[in-house]
Amino acid sequence: MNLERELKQALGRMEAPAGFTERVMSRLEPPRRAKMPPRWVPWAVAASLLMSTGGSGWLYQQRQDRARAEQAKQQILVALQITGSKLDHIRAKVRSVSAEEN
Amino acid sequence: MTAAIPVEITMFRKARTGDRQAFAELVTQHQSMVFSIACRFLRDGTLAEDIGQEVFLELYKNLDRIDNESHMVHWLRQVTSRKCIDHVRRARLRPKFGLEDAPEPVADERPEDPLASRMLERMVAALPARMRMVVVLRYQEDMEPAEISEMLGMPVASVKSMLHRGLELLRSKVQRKRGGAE
Repeated sequence: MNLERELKQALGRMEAPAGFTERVMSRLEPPRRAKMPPRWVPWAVAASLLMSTGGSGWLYQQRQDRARAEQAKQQILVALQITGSKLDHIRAKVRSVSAEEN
Repeated sequence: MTAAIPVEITMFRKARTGDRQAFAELVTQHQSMVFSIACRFLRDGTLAEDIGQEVFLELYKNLDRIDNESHMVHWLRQVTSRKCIDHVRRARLRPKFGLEDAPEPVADERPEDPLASRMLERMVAALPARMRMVVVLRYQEDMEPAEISEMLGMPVASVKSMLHRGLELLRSKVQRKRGGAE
């Protein structure tokens, strides 16, 4: 008796029940599909980008204009101060000349 | 010149990329192995199918961790064996002495004596759980003791000793049966 040979014969592989593959496949999770964003999303992103860059540009421009106006105001004030002191000086000169004539 | 890639390898690669049709082919190709291990061990066709399905569902989730086709076969045998052993441990099943509802074997070589084969099958089914799994893996799957030891996480010496004791047990039963029949 060759028991090992007999065992190999007796323990042949069995057929799985019919429909086994189909039952496995029906239990698989549905394929994972990458979620596509709605069509309006890219447009919305583009618009918001545009608005944010445009907005920040506008803000920058506003700030620049204000700085320039402030600078001009300072220059005018300095010029007025200079003019005022010059006028004082001339007035003093005129007074001293007319005092000498008298 | 490029060597032709075997269909199984192509299927495995396709399945790994998420091709469900290729995965279905893999299931069809290996279902007999998985079902046979489970059915011989659990002695219950319905339970064996449940376990078999779970094994393939787990395979689907773990495909990206499996390197190649032969690794997959090893993985399938290992997961099937472990699931079966765990199931028996949990359920503390008692041997039922019978594979009457199990499907017929589809061995390439038909047994010389179908009745003797059936008797041997029943005797294997009555072996203690671990010993039964070792015998099934050795004689159904033609695995070497070292492979079985690695698969079941047992020392090789224990596998060899189980095989030896299993064969002795089966031999004495066969001799008693055959002696009684004469």
